[in-house]
Amino acid sequence: MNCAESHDLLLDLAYGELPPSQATEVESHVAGCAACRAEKEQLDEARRLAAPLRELEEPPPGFDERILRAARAEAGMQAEGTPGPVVEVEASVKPLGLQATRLDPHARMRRGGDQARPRWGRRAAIVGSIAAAAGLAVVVTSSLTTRPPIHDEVSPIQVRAPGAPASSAVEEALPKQFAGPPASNGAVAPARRRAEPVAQAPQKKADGASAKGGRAELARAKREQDAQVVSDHVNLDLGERPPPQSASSAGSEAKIAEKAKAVEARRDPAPLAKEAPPQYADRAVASAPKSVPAMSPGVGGSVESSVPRTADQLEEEASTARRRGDYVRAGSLYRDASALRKASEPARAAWDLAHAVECLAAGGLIAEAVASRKDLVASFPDQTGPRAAADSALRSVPLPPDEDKVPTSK
Amino acid sequence: MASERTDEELLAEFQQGDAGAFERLLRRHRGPLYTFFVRMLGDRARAEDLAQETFLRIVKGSASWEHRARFQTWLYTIARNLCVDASRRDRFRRTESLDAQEGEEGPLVDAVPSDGAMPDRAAQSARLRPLLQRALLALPAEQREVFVLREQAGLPFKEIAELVSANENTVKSRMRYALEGLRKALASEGVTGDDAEPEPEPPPGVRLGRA
Repeated sequence: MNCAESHDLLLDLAYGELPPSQATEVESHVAGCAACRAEKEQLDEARRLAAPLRELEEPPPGFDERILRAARAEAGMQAEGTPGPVVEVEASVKPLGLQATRLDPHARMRRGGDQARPRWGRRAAIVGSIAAAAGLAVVVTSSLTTRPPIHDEVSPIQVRAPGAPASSAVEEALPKQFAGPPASNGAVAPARRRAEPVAQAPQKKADGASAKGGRAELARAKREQDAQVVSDHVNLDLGERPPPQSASSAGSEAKIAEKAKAVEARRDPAPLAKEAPPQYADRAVASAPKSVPAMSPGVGGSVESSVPRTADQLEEEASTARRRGDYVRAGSLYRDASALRKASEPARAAWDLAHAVECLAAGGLIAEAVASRKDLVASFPDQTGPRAAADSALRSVPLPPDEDKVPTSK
Repeated sequence: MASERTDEELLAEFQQGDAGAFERLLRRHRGPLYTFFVRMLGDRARAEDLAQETFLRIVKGSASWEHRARFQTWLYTIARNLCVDASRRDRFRRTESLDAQEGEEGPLVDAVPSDGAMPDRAAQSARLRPLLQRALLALPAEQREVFVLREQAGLPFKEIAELVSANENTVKSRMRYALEGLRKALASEGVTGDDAEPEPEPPPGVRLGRA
């Protein structure tokens, strides 16, 4: 070892970052080299002098409080540790991406015991990771962070819902959730159903707060407080974000009503419409290009099939939709492109299908994504690259070991 | 130590809805993080605000955190960005902060604790710290951050390089300048290595904040 090398490594040596063998080498060089020894001594002296700066300062009392409040709110926990009710609405028409994860308060008790986290909770995390893996722009926020002033009533219930209503999915999903953690595909199944267009969604506007038990009111107050804590801070660092949208469009009203319905259904066997805070997704919808259809077919069938297009055109549109964040539409278009060129260009068709899997998964349509992957495996058994991509998109979803089988629960 | 869960494990548990796991993470990192801001800004009130803000961002971003990333790197990336923002916002206030710092801790000479029972070393440390803090604040910010991240947060140079978007050699150069700058600043106050603590802290593998 020469002086130059030694010089480069003296700091690493001083901070213990060298592997033992290399450390020994440097030390033996330093032992025989006056210049390097002098340099090392200077470093050591400076570190000795600076030692008081390493001592920890203690944060002032009360430092933890609002952080822990926010953490509990994030964990969907009330301070007293009881689980907050959560409703998940499937069949998204717009990308959930990380929002889905953020919207999921995982309102569970602490882990342990037999309070296993339901699968759908896990899936939300999957959706998030897929969106991240797809390199898509994601916005991290929370339902808790977007409490607009126009809603004087904040629902005591965390609604975990995609950006648009899917009434059939809601109805189908709810009983399953009442019955306890759904089986592996229990909550996925509703996603297969075609979501109803926004305009057809029930327009049940909230009809004000209904009388609730005192305990429920208390719990709500607590949650609101927690939510406000988070909200306060979000405003700090997302100053460039647009102000909360008012629920002016029929779409967002419908969404609110839909969520409210879900909320009430969850907490009460006799559903009663009630206003819930709009999710961040509302904002995203409002800022999306108006020309984009609010909904796209969830399952099968081509989009805008009246206009015949080539596979290339479909792929191009899919790519555009994907960049725009309209994953469900992108997934559908990719699937159509794949079908068109299945015979002529199997390799590209396989990739289209793999992209369809990625997009459907990112759009929250896990069941469809799984079905498309199955299609991919069956139709293009020798296309390992696309298959790996599809598997990667679904890496957190339990896939059936047997490729021939449709994924079923358990 | 073996049974101690890693930061990453705790965060994963928090992602699963266990707020208690986050509490443990907080207890582990609150001191070091707060100290990081104190050292960087020389202002306790702002250090408190920004350290809280950092943790709140962790809370908010936890759902999107991926297990591949090291928690501590993430934590200090946020912290460092907040520092950058803060210093951009009020570049002019920096000298005021320095004055406030001095006012808070008292003039250097008077900072010697009167408590005679205080051990020599602690007394010396208490005497030197305000001096060091001022010298640290007088360093260019990019040297200061490297110094604090390495000395106090205990991040390896490689991670610091990623965190500040510079190459590792640049980071090490800044570290040398920082150490040399501190040494000279103390020397100009008549403090030399003889006055310092007898030995450097054992650095290898020791991460602050694992208490």
